[in-house]
Amino acid sequence: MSIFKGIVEIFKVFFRLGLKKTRTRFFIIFSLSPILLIILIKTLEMGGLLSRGSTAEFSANMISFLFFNFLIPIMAIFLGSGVIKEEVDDKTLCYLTSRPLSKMSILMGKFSAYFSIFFLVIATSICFLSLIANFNNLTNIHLYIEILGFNLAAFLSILAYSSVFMLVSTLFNRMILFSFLYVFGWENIVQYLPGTTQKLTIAHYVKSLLPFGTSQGSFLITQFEPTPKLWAVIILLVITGISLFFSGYLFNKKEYVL
Amino acid sequence: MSPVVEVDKLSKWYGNILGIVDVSLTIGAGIKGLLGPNGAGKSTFLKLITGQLKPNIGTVKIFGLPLPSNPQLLTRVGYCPEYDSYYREMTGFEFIYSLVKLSGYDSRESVDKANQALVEVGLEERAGDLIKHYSLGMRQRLRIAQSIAHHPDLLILDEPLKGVDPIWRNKIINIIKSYQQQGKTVIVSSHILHEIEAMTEDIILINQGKVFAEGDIHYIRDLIKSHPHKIYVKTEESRKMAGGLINREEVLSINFSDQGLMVETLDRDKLLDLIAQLIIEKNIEVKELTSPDDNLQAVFKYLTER
Repeated sequence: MSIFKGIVEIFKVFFRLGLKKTRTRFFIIFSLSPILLIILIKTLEMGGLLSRGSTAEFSANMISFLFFNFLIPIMAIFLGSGVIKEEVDDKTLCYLTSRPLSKMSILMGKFSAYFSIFFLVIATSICFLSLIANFNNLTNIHLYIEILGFNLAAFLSILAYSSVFMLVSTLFNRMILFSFLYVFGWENIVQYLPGTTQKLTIAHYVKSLLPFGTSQGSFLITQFEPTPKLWAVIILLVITGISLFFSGYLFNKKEYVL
Repeated sequence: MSPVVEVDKLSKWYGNILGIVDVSLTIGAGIKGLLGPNGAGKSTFLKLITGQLKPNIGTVKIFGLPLPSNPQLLTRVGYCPEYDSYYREMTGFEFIYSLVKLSGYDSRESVDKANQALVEVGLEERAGDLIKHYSLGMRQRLRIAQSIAHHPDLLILDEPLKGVDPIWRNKIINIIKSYQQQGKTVIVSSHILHEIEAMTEDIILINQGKVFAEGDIHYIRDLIKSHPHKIYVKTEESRKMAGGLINREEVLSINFSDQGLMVETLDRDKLLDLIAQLIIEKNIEVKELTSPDDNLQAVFKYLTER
C-alpha cells in the first residue's frame, strides 16, 4: 500500500475511533461550554444590563486566554502523546504494524485524524462564540476576518504544539510531565520577559497571529513584541515540519516491545 | 517446494536478556507447532517473523523475500498476538472491518470478509457490540478472526487457545486444520503440549531462546516418557505407603517429607496404579496425590541438565 493510501486509510479508522473516545467527548463539552456563557452574557447585554460591545470584547478575550493559553496546549499534549503512546500502552500497535503499511503512514494518518477532530471542535467553538457575541453586528466584514484569523491561529497552534509533543513522546516514555512543564512553566514565564527570549516559545508565534484589535493584547501579555504575521506562520510551519519529520524517523527506527 | 519462512542465524536480545539465539529454520506449508515453556522465546520468534521486532543478528525471509524491505508481504500474513489487546471504543465488526481495510481491500470486500470471519468464530450475533463488553474467550476469538479475515497464506498464531472454552477450542483447532487442507502455512505457538498435539505432529521445541529440537511430536512424547516424574503422596501413613512401594521396579526413589512422601518414577501411569492398589489393599488414607513437575518446563529442565 502506498504511503498516501496508507495515511488515508489510517485517517478514516482513527477519525471514527477518535470521535468515540471519552477524552474527545470531554474536550468537545469543555470547548463548547463557553458558548452557553456567551449566550448568557449576550442576553444580559441585549437586556441593557451590560454595556454595548462588552460581550464581543469578553468573547475575544476568552478565545485568546481560555483557548490559546489553556485549552489548545492541553489538547495538544494529549493529541501528540496519544498517537503512539496509546498504541503501545494498549498493545494495539501490532495490529497496525502487521498490515502492509509503512510506519510513516501509521503515524501521519493517526496524527491527522486526531488533529482534524480537535481542530474542528476548536474552530466550531470559535465561530459560534464570535457570531453570538457579535449577533447585532453580523454584517461587519471585519468580524469574519477576525474569525478567520482566530481559526488560522488555532490551526497552526494545534499543529505546532501537537507535532512537538508527538516528537517528545517518541523520544521519551514519560512525556506528559515534560509537556506540562513546558507549556505552563517555560512558556508562561518567558512570555512576560521582554526581548528575544519570548521567541523561544511556540506561544509567542501563535500570539503574533491573533487578531489583536481589541484590548485582549494587554489583557494577556505585557511587553509583547510580536513577530510579523508571515514570519510567525512560516516559523510555526517549520516547527511542525521538523517535528513531524523526526517523529516519523524515530518511530520508524525505534522498536516497541509490547 | 520453496519454504514459506526462512530464518538464518536469527538472534534477538533485549538489553542483557536473550530472546532468541542463533535460530536457523525453514518452514513450509502445513501446520508447524512452536512448543516451549513460558519465556522460552516463542513470542519473540513470532514477532521477528512478522516484522514486529528487528533481529540483532540474522535474516528473515517470507515467501522468499526479506521482510523489512518488502512490507507488502504482510498482505499475505495473518498475525494473532498473545496479549488481550483491542480498541476499546470499537465494535467487533468495526475492529475486523478496519483491519481488513488496512490490509488493502476495498470497502465492499472488507465488509464481506469481516462478516465471514465473524461467522467463522461465532461472533456474528455480537458483531455490533463494543469489544470491551466481550468476555475473554470472545476477545480471543475476535483476535483470531482479525488474523484470518483476509485469508492469509501464512497464519501466525501466538497462544491462540488461551482463554477459549472447550467447545470453541475444538472449533478453532478445526479452523487451523482447514488452513493446512488448503495448502497454506500455519505457525502456532503454545506452552501446552496437548494443545499443539491436537493441531499438528510437526513441532519445533524451543527453550531459553534456542531451538531444542525440530520434527515429529512423538519425539517429545518419548522425551517426556524418559523423564523421571515426581509424585507427591500426602498421607499420615507415609511409612506404610513406603513399605508397599519399596523395591518395586516402577519406583526410582522415595523421599519422606513433613506430611507425606515424594516418589520418583519413570512410568507415572504404572506408579499411580500401584498407589491405588496399595490404598485399597493396605487401607491407607491418602489426602492428596499430585504430580508437581508434570509440565514442559520440568521436561526442559531435566533435558538441559542431563
